[in-house]
Amino acid sequence: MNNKIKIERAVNNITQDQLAQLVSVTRQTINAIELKKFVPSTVLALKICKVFNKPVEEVFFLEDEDFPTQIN
Amino acid sequence: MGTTLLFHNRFKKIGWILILISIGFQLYPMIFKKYLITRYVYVPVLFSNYMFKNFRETFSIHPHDIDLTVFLTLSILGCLLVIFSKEKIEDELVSNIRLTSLIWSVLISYMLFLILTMTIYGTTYLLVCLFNIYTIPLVYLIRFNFLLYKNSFYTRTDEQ
Repeated sequence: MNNKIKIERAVNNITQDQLAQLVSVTRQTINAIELKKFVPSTVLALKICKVFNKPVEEVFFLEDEDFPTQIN
Repeated sequence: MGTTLLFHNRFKKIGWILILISIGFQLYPMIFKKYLITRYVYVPVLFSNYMFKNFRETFSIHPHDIDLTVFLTLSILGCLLVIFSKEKIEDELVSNIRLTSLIWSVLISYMLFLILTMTIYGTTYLLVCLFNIYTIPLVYLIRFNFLLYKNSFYTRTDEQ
């Protein structure tokens, strides 16, 4: 799963630290999500989207590798 | 959301103190050639017997050497407190790292135990069985703290 958190942060002029405080997690967690090293829970994803005032599918989106290989 | 089966963060410090005391308790007689406490103390016994003595007791109170008992009690309690205490900010990334470290430690511990079971024989094997209880906490603590450090390192080096 990919995300646009870094872009949204830049648009809203919010640092990783500020976003982390707004959603009650550590800065490390925000950084890990941005680097695609950690997939957040639905609750955390919704909290992040609420900060940016955007629907969840505009910030988080699935990639091809998230779908299992289809057998023909 | 979060793991509820965890102690408050302050218990982590108490855990480390207990571990240090237990290590000191073992090192003191080695360095100063005398014991910190009286070793033979009257203790409640559920079952006890010795290999080369015709001696056996159940459900009684008898004097016993409590050197190893004190060391194991303090160190196991210390390890439990350190492992099962929350971080200052316990979020879902920390919970994820906790789970990964636990899986790693259980896997490594049993793999090591399996290898040692197949290669070590005689009375030394009893020591293997005894000290194998520390493999899980040891591997867990190394893995958990390494992953936390790695994450904070990446965050420090990453731009805001």
